[in-house]
Amino acid sequence: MPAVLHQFRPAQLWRDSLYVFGGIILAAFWLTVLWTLVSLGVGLAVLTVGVPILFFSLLLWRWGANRERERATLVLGSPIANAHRPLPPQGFWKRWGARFRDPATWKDLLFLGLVGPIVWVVFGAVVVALWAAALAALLTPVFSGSAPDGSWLGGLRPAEVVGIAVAGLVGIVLALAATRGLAAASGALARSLLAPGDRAALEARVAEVEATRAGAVESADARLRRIERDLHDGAQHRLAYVAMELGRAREKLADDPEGADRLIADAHQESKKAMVELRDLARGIHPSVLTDRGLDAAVSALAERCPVPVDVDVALDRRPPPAVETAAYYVIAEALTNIGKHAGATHADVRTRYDVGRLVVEVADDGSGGARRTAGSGLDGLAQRVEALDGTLAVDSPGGVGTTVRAELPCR
Amino acid sequence: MRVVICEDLVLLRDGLASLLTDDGNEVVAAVGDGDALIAAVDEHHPKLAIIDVRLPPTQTDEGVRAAVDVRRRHPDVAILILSQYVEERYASDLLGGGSQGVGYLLKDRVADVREFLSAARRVAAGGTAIDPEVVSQLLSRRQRTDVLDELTPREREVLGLMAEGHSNGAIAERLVVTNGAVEKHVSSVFMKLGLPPTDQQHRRVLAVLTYLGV
Repeated sequence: MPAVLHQFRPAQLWRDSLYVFGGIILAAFWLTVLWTLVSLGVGLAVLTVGVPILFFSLLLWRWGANRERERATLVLGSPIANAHRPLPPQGFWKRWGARFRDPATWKDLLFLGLVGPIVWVVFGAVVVALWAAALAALLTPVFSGSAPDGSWLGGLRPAEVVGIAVAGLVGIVLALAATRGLAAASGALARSLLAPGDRAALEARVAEVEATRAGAVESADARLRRIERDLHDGAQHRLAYVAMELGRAREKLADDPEGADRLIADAHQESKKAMVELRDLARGIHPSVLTDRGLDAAVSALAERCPVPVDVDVALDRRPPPAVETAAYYVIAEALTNIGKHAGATHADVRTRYDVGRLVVEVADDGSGGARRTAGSGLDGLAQRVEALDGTLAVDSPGGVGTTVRAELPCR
Repeated sequence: MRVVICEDLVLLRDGLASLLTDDGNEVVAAVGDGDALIAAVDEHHPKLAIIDVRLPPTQTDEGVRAAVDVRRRHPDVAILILSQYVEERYASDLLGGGSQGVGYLLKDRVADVREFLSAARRVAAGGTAIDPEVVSQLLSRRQRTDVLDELTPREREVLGLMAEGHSNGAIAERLVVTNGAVEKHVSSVFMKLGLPPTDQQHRRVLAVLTYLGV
């Protein structure tokens, strides 16, 4: 489907209509409630009872504006970002002061109490009028036969009836275009008033960077702790055991060569296990095949070690930046480990591809589902790692259906 | 002698048990956590308890805390702590209640079977066995101030070996000097640390405690 037609899918038409016509009802609601409350509040402000009313209406319109930010998903495809400045964590009056000083509060009122309702009503009326006219024209042939003689409709000649019907068809196209166009325009208007301004956007960005940076440090710490733990419980204690067994063997060598031989054989076994553990651990820290050969080779190796059959589809025409590649690798590694351990799956799929400046990684299985990101979990560590690169990690894991882990990593 | 082992990693626990059994000791209990250790010591009242620092559930210093507990309940049970790392703080916690019948060794020392077993025997007999690494760490901390500054390098070396738990004879052997020379150094150390000429073993312990700064 060409991109232009994509805009006119029936589903989008319904969403556009819902947005505009829903807006008409909301317009009536907000115009009444908000202006009643505000004028009541202002009018009674001298008697102090007006003050709480004003405070309440401020909370109400900020809340309503947030609902509008969400409702804009219908026409914009995604919600409008919240423009409200973060409130101070405590202090009743400080918090109220922040609400009053925030320009977003007043833009919310402007939108919800004036611009929004006008736009919805006007646009709604235009859309309704267009649809009515177009449908009426289109249906002229149906009604012209049964129209009473002498009326305007009954007196039309057949050619005129066909002409009007054709005009109706054109009108339908026009109405379609107008619905989409006006819905998109009202969405854009909503965005211009409700979306964060440059400064607010920067502030939000800084807050996000701070949070993800802390997350990145935390996840790196957690990884180091895990490595230390693995070393301590694994190779380190095996090597201590090997040394001890060899020491005992030396003591026995003269008097009991057979006993010494048994001890040496045992130490030999354990030293091999220690080597395997060290190799696995080193690979877990950073697989050299990833550096040498890239994601495809590294992921194929992961898939081979996974107890569940895995289809790998790495469709990348160039290598992503190293940090992105490593993060993608860990998303896949962790997801496959989880599948092997918990999912009870019979099959898994790994897909990676580029999509408009982003590397998209998806690992899906047909197991028992129910995976969640809880604080401190492996998934949480992964998410922190991905977020530190400005990416997103989504876990979709309905019980009994399977789990899909999807990471999107920006590649600039 | 009767020994209780407390180590959560089964491989090492079994290895230690065989090691001690080979040497003619009786391992009366081999357990995996602090609570089980205390129960085992209460029940068997062994001569020596060998304890790993890192135990479940926290995998931090459970072993040290369990050891301090054992010491309080049964002051006559000798304690030998095994640790993956040298931690000065653990040593101080442990030696705070006196250094008699206390040992603190790196796990690596287990590899030198003969020395490990002799350290175990020494501790069980009421002596000390402090890992050279612990000693050198404590020493570097102590070097800033105090009475130890008055010791000559040789005297300090002798004191370090005393802290590790060696007898005068063993020290003489190590430093390749005569017994008499060691005795001279030792009494010079006692004098400089201002330790009264009482029972020789008691002064030795006090010197070591001064040295370790506990």
